[in-house]
Amino acid sequence: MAKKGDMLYAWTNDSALAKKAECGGAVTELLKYALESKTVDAVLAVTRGFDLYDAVPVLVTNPKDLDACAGSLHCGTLLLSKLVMEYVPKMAGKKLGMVVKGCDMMGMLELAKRKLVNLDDIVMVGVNCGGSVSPVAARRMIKEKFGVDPDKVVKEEIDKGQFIIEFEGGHKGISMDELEDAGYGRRSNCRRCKVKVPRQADLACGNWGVIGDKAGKATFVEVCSDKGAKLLDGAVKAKKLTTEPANPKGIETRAKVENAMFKLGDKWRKRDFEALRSNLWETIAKETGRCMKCGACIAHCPVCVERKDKYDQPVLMVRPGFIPADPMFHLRRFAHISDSCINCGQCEECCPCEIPLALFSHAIRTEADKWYEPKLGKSAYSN
Amino acid sequence: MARRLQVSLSFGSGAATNPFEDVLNSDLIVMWGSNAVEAHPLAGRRIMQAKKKGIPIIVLDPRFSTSARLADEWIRFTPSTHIALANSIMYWIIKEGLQNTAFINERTKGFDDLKKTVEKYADCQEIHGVPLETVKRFARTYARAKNAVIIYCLGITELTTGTDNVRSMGNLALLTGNVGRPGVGVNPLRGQNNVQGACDMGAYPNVYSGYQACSVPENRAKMEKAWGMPVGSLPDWYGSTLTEQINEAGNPIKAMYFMGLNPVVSYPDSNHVKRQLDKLDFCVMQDIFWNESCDYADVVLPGTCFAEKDGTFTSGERRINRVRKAVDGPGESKLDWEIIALIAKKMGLKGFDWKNANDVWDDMRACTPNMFGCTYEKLGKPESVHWPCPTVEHPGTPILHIGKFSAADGKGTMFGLEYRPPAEVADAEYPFTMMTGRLIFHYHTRTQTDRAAQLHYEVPESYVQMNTIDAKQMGIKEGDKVKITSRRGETITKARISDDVAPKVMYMAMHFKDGVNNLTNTALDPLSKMPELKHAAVKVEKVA
Ligand SMILES: Cc1cc2nc3c(=O)[nH]c(=O)nc-3n(C[C@H](O)[C@H](O)[C@H](O)COP(=O)(O)OP(=O)(O)OC[C@H]3O[C@@H](n4cnc5c(N)ncnc54)[C@H](O)[C@@H]3O)c2cc1C
Repeated sequence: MAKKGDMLYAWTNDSALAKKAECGGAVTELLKYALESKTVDAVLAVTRGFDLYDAVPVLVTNPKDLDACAGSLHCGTLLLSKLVMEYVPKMAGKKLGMVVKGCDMMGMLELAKRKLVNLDDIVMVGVNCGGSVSPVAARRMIKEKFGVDPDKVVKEEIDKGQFIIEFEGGHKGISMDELEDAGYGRRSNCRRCKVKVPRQADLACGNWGVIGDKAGKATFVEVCSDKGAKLLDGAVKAKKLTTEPANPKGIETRAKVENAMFKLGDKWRKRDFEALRSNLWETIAKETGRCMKCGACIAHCPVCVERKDKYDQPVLMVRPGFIPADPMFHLRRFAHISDSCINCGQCEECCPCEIPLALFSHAIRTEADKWYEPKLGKSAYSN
Repeated sequence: MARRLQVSLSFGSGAATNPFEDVLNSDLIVMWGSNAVEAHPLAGRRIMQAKKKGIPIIVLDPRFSTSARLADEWIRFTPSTHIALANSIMYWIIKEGLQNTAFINERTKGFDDLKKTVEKYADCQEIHGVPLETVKRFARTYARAKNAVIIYCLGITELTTGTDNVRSMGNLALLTGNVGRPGVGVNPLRGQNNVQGACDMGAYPNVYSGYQACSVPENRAKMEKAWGMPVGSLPDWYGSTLTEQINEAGNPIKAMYFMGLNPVVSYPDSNHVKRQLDKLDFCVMQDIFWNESCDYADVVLPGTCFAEKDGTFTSGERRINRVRKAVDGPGESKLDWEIIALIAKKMGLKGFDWKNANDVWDDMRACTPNMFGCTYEKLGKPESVHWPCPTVEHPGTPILHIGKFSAADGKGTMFGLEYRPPAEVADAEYPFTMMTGRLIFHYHTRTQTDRAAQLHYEVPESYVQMNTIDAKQMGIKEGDKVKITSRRGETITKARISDDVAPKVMYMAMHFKDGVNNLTNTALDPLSKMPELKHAAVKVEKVA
C-alpha cells in the first residue's frame, strides 16, 4: 500500500501507451484509471493541436481519449486553473481530475483559498516542470540557434540542462544556459520559478531520478496525499500500472537536480530583481506607460477575479476610455495580487504591449514574503 | 478599397512593401496619419516591440494621438496639408544633398520633376504649420537614418488628395532609397481586418482576384472559361466604387447586397446614405448582428463570425492567415460562402458546389497567378505565406521590390505634386475643422464591440475633442453637451477639452450612430474615389 511520502518508479502496462508517453506513461494511466474507476467524472489535460508548438487544453470523459494527451509539450504555456474556475458552475456535484505543472497547482491552491473551487472535488496529478518556452520564441530559437526548420521537429524535450530536439534526420541539444544567455530559452518567469516538483498536488510525477534500466521507461512518482496514494493503489490493483520502490541513488539524483534548478532560479531572480533595484518606480512607470487596457493581464491572472459590480463603482483614478492606462490601473492590480502572485507568467505572455508584468508582481511578492508574516485575508469591514 | 491604387502609382504595386515585424529591423519609424497603437493593435504591437528595443519613433499627426504619446517625437501639422509638408521636407533633403543619388539614378524616374516642384515649398509654415527648424530637423533625421520606414494609414488616404498624399510618401522613400530591403519601405495599414483579403479577391470595380485587370481581354477570356460563361460576356468597363454606388442607389442601381457593412453609420453623410438606401427596390444585409442599416433591408441574412467559420484573413502585410472554426454559429446562421452558394444555386448558376472553405479557396487559386502557390497546407503554418507566391514550391514574398519595382519598366516613379486644400475648408459660417478617427475600444460601428461590457464601459458614447482656448471662448466645459453642425447634418455629443488638438480643430471617433458621419463630406479623391472622411468644416454650439 502506497502512502504519503513514498517515492516510486511507475509504468503503464499498456505497451501502446508506453510508446506515446513521455517516460513511463504513469500520468496518463493514472488519469485513465481515475475515469474508469469513476473517481472523477472528467479529466482536464493537454493535447497537441495543430503542431508541436500548439498545446490545447481538453476536457476528456472517455478514458480512451486520454491516449492522445500522452507526452509533454514544453511549448505549452497554458495555465489551467482559471479555466477550471470558469467552468466551476457547470461542474457542480462533479469530480475533476487534472494534470498540473507547478503553476497550475499553485493557481488551484489560490482558487481554493478564495473558495472558488473545492479541492475535495479535484484530483491533481502533478508533473514536474523545469519551465516552458513560448511557441513563437521556440520556433525562432529552433530556426536561428539550431539551424533546423521548426516544422521538421518531431519531438522536443528539456533534459539534463539541455533543450533537445529530434527532427527528420537527427537530433540536437544545446545547453539552456547558452540559449538563455543569448536571449532564447524558457520564459523569464519560468527561469525564476522554484516550484519544480508540485508537492501540493496529490501525486508529483517526473523523469528526474529514474536511473538504471528504467531510465526513460518509468515515471518517478512522489506520493503527496492520501488521495494520491489511493489512486495509485487502485491503478496497481486494477493491473493498469506497475510500480517498484525508487532506486535510492535515483532519489539522490532527483534531489540534486532539483537543487541545481533552485540555484538556477535564484540566479535569475538575482539578475532580474537587482536590475530593478534602484529604478523600480521609473521602470514600472515606463513599461506600464504603454498599456492599452486590453485587460488580458486580468482575464488570464489566476488570482484576479473581478467584482460583478465593478462598472457601477465611482471613478476616481482610472478613467474609462483613457489610454495609456492611468497608473492606478496597474497599481491596484499589483497591490491586489501582492501576496498571491504565483509567477505563472500569463499576464506577461498575453500582454500585447510587451509589459514585463510578471517580473514586477513576482518581485513584489517574493520581497514581501521575506519580510511580513502572517498574511491576512478579507476583513469583516470595508473602509 | 481604394488605397491600393495609390501606392501602386509610385511602386507599380499597391500593398505594404514589408511585413509588420520588419519595423524591428528599422533605425527610424515614421508614422504619418496613422494611430496604429489604437487603430491597428497588431501592427501596433510591433511598434511597441520596436519602442522597447529603443528604435526611435516619430509621429506626424495634427492630433496628440495615443501613438504620438508613445513616440519619441510628435510633429503637429495643420490637418490635410501632407503634400505641402512632404514637399518642404524633400526640398530640404535635396537642398542639403541628403538624397540617395545612386538609388535615384539606378531605380527611379521623375526626380527632376520632383525637384522642380518642391522648390516652391522651402518654407510654407503658413500652410502646414510646422516651424521651419522642425522641418529641417525631420528632413535630416529621415534622410540620414540607415533604414527608415514610413507607416501611414487613413489619415493620409481618406482625403480628396489621398492618392497624391500616398504618392508623397512614396516620393520620400524613393528620394532617400528607403525601399526594397529589411527595415525600410512604405507601409499602409488597412481600414479593417481582411480589407487586404477583400481587395485581393477582386472586390473592386475593375479587377478580378489578384488584381487581374478587367480591361485586359485575356483576363476576361480566362474568367469566362473558369466561370462557365459565354465568350465575350464579361464587361470590360470600370464599374462603380461603393461611394458611387450609394450615390447611384435608385438610379441606375435598383438592388444592393451588403455583407458585413453598416453604411448608415460608417459612410460619410449618414443622412444621404439613408435617403439613398430608401430608394432601392431591394436591399439585402448579411451580418452577424442586426445593425442600424438592417432597418433599410428587405432581407437580412444571418452570417457567421470569425470563430464560427473556416477561412482566411489576409493582413496588410499580404500575409494570408488561416482562421479556424471553434464553435457552431447560433440559430439559423450559415457560413457566408454557404449563403452565397445557396443563392447562386437558386439563380441557376453553376460552379458553386463547394464542400468547405478550402474548396472556395482552391477555386480562387486556380485562376489567380499571384496566389496560386498559397495552398491551405502552407497557410496552416504560423508564419503562413505572403503573396506573391506563384507556385507551390515558391516561399512567398515578405518584402516587395527588392532590386526591381513591379512597374513595367522596373522603376519607381517620383511625382512632382502640388498641395491642394481639401474640398471643404473652414470659413466664417463653419469655422472649425473636423477630423475623424478610431478608438481602441471600439471596432467600426460597434455592432460587435458595444456588446462587450468592458468595451461599453470604457467608451459608452461619442465625444468630441476640442481645444482649451476654443472651449474657453465658447464657455464650454469638460463633459458639456454640444451640438456640432456641418452643411450636411448635425450631431449632439459631449465635449472633451485638452490641447491634444490645435485651436479651431476638432476630432471625433467614427464608431457612433448619428455621430460624426452625420457631418462628414462625400467629396471624392478623383483617382481612388475615396471620400474625404477626414476633413469637414463644422460649427459648434453649447446645448443648454
Ligand atoms: C512543460 C513541462 C516541463 C517539464 N519539465 C520536467 C522537468 O524538468 N523534470 C522532470 O522530471 N519532469 C518534467 N516534466 C514532466 C515529464 O515530462 C513528464 O510529464 C512526467 O515525467 C510524466 O511522464 P509520463 O510518461 O507519466 O507522462 P504522460 O503519460 O506522457 O502524460 C503527460 C501528461 O502531461 C500533460 N501535459 C503535456 N504538456 C503539458 C503542458 N504544457 N502543461 C500541462 N500539462 C501538460 C498531458 O496532457 C499528459 O496528461 C515536464 C513536463 C512538462 C509538460
